[in-house]
Amino acid sequence: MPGREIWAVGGGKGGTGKTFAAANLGVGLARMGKRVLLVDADLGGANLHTCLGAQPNTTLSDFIQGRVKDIRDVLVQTDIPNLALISGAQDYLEVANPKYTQKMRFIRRVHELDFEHIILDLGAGTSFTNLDFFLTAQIGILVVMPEPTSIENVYRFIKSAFYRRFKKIARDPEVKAVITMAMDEKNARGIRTPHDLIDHVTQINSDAGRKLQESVLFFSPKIIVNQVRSKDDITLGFSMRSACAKYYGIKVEYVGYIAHDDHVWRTAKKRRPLLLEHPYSRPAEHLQRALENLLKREELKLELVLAGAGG
Amino acid sequence: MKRLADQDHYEVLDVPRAASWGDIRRAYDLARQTYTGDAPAAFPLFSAEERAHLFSRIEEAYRTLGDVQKRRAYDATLAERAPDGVSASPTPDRATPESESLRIGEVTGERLRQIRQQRGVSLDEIAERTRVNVDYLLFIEEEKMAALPAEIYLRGYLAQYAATLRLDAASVTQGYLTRFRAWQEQRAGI
Repeated sequence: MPGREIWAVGGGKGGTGKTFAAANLGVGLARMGKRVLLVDADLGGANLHTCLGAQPNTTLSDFIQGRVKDIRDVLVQTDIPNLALISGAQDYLEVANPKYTQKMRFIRRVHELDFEHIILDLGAGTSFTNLDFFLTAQIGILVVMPEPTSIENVYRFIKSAFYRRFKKIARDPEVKAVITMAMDEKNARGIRTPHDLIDHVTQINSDAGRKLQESVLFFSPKIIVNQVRSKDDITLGFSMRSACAKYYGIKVEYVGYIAHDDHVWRTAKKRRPLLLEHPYSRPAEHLQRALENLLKREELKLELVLAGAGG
Repeated sequence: MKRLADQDHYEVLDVPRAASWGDIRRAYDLARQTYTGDAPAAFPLFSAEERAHLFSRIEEAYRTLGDVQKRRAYDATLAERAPDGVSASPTPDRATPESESLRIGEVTGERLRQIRQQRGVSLDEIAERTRVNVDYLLFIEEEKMAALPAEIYLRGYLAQYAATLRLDAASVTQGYLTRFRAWQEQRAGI
């Protein structure tokens, strides 16, 4: 069986380019000859199909709600070779928050399909659906724009995601309670950073503390900075990596940035992926580089970016 | 990942033990950009006092690692502190470019430039660091011997250039001065 890998693209705020990035990463992989499944996991406001010019009949929520039994019946082949799509729903509001077991059943079924790469396009915000999909992925990608609100949302997403993971790992009810309390910035015990939290948990239950510590090591989200217009915008990814290491104690990897460029909205209007319409445009080349970094498990290098080798 | 209080200077700057001077300088510049003022990446996570504290740690790290002598002394204390090679390596220098010594015959201006570029260090950075005029550094690399100063000065410049790139200063000066003298003899002969 081929190595099957799930990538999730999230990032908190709406309109940062999550869907754009997910669609084009999928197209990029498909162009390399990989069998790719794009999943619109934005259950509240799906529009991945629009990026690809597809018209779905059935959707992910049909499967999650049990209206469609076989996951293969919600799959559509796009007119791009090697690229299939599961569309998200625009229907009922309550579908946006499926049960944990429903989500995991979906992930299991997806794993059984014959694809090498599965890309989940997550919705905005830090709903449990987004966090759970993000955490089940082998690679979690956060798309951030060089704006204070977007940066803040990405941090909130990171924090929510690994506190969610902490809670899934913890068995001890007392430990769970401390984690819940720590989610609130102004908690009574003065737990501000994950370091504080791990210290607290270790005092209650040293075994649980060690498990949390270990889980931090495996949590390494990737960052893509979208719509950069200046050198400062480009170095923002490195700054966020540094701040996350110092504050959260986690290793965020900066895999790429994408230039602010008119080609992007022009292709969006045409409902065509940038990588196919303008493969030699700057943002397309930037996407391609981010994709290569993701595949090779590498990240941008400060010295090369500063030397302008990054383009 | 360690807490800030437990981090050594390399960890504070987020550079490897084998980092070149250029790497350290770039890491420092990035940190300054990240943690001073109201820069957007650190602002949502750290209070003004925390950012100030962080930056003072970063400055301290840079003052030490940015200086060849101080860095060497610091590396030695790190090596002593490390219990039997648990942290990085007890003799970090062995793995770093510093131990790289060029063969005397290998030292040419072109080769030095290659090494400098590989390490990602600009001439301006070396000039800023060593206070050697950037023109002289350029003449060294281009082997514009006629434009270079007297040997007694040139020797000092070469040693500083080599130290900045963490090259063995003795072999660089000796190798380069051999070429310089050959050029002088040739010119005297004509």
